[in-house]
Amino acid sequence: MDAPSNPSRGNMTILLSRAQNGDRQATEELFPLVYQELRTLAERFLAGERKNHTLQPTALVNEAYIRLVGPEATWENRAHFFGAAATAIRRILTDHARTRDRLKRGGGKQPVQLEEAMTVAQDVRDQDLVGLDDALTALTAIDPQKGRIVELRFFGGLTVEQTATVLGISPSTVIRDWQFAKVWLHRELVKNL
Amino acid sequence: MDESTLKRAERVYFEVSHLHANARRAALDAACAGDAALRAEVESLLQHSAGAREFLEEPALGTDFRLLTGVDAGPDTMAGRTIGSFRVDERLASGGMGTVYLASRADADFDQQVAIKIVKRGMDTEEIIRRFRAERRTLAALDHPNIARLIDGGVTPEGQPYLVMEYVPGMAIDDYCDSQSLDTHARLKLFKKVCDAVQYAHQNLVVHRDLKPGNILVTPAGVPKLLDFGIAKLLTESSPADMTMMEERRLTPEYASPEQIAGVGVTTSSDVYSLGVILYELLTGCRPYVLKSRTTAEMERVICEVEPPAPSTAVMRPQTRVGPGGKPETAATPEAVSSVREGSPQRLRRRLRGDLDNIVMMALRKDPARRYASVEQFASDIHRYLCDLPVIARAETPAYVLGKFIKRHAWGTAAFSVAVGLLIAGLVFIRAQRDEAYAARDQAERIADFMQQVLGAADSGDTRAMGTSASIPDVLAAAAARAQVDLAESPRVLAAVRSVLGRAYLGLGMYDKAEEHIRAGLTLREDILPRGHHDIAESKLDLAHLHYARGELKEAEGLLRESLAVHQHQRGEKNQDTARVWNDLGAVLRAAGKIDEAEVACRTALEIRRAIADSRDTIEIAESLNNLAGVQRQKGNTAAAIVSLEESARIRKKLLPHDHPLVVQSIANLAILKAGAGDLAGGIELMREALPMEARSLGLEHPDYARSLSSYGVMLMRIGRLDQAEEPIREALRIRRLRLEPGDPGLLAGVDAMARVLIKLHRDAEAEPLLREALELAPRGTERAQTYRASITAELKALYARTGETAKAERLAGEGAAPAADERNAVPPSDGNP
Repeated sequence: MDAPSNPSRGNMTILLSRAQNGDRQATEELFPLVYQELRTLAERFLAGERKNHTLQPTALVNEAYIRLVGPEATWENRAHFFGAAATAIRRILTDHARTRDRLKRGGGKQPVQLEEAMTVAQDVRDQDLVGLDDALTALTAIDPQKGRIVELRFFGGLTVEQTATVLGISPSTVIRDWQFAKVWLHRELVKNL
Repeated sequence: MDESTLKRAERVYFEVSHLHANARRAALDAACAGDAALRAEVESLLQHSAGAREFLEEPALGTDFRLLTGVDAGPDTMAGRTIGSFRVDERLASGGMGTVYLASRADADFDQQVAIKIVKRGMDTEEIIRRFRAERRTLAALDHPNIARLIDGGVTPEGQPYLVMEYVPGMAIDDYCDSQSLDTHARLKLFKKVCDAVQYAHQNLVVHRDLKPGNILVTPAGVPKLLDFGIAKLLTESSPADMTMMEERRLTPEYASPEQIAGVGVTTSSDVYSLGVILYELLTGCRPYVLKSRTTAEMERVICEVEPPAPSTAVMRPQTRVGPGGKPETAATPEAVSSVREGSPQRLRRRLRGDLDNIVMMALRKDPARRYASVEQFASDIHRYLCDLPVIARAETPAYVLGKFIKRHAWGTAAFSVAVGLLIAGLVFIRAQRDEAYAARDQAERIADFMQQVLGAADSGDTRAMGTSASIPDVLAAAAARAQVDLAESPRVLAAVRSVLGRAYLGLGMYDKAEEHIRAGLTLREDILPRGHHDIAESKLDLAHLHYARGELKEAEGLLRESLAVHQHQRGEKNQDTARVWNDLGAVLRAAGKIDEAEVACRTALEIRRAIADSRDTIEIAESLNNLAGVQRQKGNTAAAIVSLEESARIRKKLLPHDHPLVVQSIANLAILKAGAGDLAGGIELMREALPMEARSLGLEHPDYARSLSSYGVMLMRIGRLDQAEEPIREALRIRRLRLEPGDPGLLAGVDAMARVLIKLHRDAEAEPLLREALELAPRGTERAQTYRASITAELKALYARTGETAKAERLAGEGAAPAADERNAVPPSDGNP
């Protein structure tokens, strides 16, 4: 496996520890590194480097983690890394979707059928993603914790327990918030169609 | 909106979301008193609680990490384009594998509408195209009125594979049934058509692999049509070495079989399972499982391990889903579910209980080998149910369920630790008493009994019922090994444990293992106890049972007589244990053909037991009466036998649960006796009562169940119901071939019955090999045996005369000495003896 070019594993571990202790700047520094690593990895997979691999998002993130941090770090570090990765994935996905959306539709919004909006989870479509991103931003503005939970669960693919660890809250709170956030976002998405 | 509004809405939402409509309205009134905006907000959210259930549950990336790289997922501007010879009209649906468009033939005069599925980018295009070429002939050959045809396929100029299929305007089968408020009967009839179509495909070597209501549409005319046959395989089967993750992610987990989830081979049995889930849902309105998340671990846990509730149970529960705080919340009430089915929950429950429960649960068994062997068998059972005929499906026996439980929870060892621990405690107790008093022995015995209970083998009936289900022998082996180590210092307790193990193996029919342990127990006891000690007699009794089970009657009789002497000497005649030995001796003597001696033994046991019981009814008395009836019958005294047996059945029914193996045994025996005495209608009626009970308590492949089934078939044959007779006789023979040794009279009885029913059905070609087999299996020597052989020979000759095979008939000449017996005498001994 290639060694990550930048930064060193030691640096990543320090960054993660700082992020874990609530250091906002560390979180911000972490993000572009994770973002870049995820993109690189995904491109490599596409380039056919591992043609026979199938991959889940968590596996992708995991690999990025091992490359950036090393295999032996603590679970807490890993959880925070996954947290950063969730944000990165959200950004990557919605950026692409926005670009494509503009190219395709020349700015005009095409209504989708209700049925389709409801199955957004199964088949992520560009306009749904853009809509979701907007709604999620709105939700985060009034309830940051719920917004973050959706980011971790939907974009990061984290389980309830993992989400709870990253946020330092109880799994039952995660479940409750997740439940409500889904209802709220669903309403927003359908409303805006 | 601001934060506090959201928080308030959230609080009210969770207060009311789990309530039914009326209660919800009242709660909303109370919670939002005067705050119209809050109320509007909550009501608006409530409208989305169902829609949001699956929403976002699948993580954004799925396996499609391509999204991360910014590679275009393909423009969604297909409308108006031409694909092959079709013009795309509009998009119909999108799914995990691609997008489906409605299209019509561009060049033709006639108006043919088709559905075109364009495979999602990012799937292994080359591989799909290769596979499609390999399979298209097979898929295109599927020509069935209930299967949507595959018309064409190819690759778009952009390199995306596509499939052109018959377009089916219709509703998903579950929605259709609900929208038409179809009752259970109508749902089953519709579902059976689906099964027939799947079976047709299986015969053409095509497995669906992704059956779900969404793939089964019903046209406005009520015709079900299956979509996407074989497509799942086309699209999801990666290179053989690496087919797990892809498939797992693409299939619909709620309908996937445990073997699909586990990533092991997919066979026609997986379709049986998926159909089972669909039927479950059609009948109950809910799925057998609730997946809390779609993670691999959760799917594996739920689909591979959780036993779903029976449909009749499921419909009485409010359906739940995982709600806030991990607490279940109501999704549909029993009233709502039954309103589009049978009217009321109670009616629906009654309808489902019994056969339909068993049918659905049989299709849903985790182990493919324990499901219906084919979709055809599944469909036939539904057909039988619809015609009010007995069905094949039986509930799992309690012992089987317990065995699985033990296996699943690795409880075998834990429970045995407890049992062995108690045995050690028992030893301490015995030592503390420092005497050989009965109390101490009873204590040890109770501990040993407890151990048997741990095995789900509290009595011999249940032990028989267990059959050789995989886990129990494992557990026994573990216990044996453990006992050797833990009890090495306590030979007396070790002996007791080995005896218990021996008995358990005996119950399982594993005779060699049984002998090993029983003999080890006996040797230990002979080493440490004085001659003639009761425990030694006990071991010898166990050994006698073993010999009896193996048909070694002489050895069994010798040991029993030895035990009897010890018991009479130590306990006296009027003693429960002495009576038991008399009873066992009676059974052995009867089996050995010593009828008069057997009658004496049975009567002695009965008298002792009556004397002890002091005019109360006891199980032991019922047992003696049952055995006495057997002797009486063998002596030709059928009337007396019926009286004994009726009394036995009365006591057992009074004292035991209604489907206890012993109650069933009495009813089955009575049925056979009555039929033997000419009361065929009475026999059939009793057997109808006994069969389902027997299947439940013994399991579907127990030789005793086969005996009853075969007898039932023979009775039906005798009253001329040939159409109904064949199936039970065939099934009985199947079981007997599976479970019995070639020398077993039961096997001969089964072959005989099958041959005779086939002859009556004028199917000589099928009957001939069976008659020959009967001749091979039939014993020689006794007069009775010769009479029987002669009757078979006569049947064969008559058959050859019909088929004109005179040469074969000639070769039988040597066998034909005795006159042909009539049919009743000709039925070999085993299918009739109580």
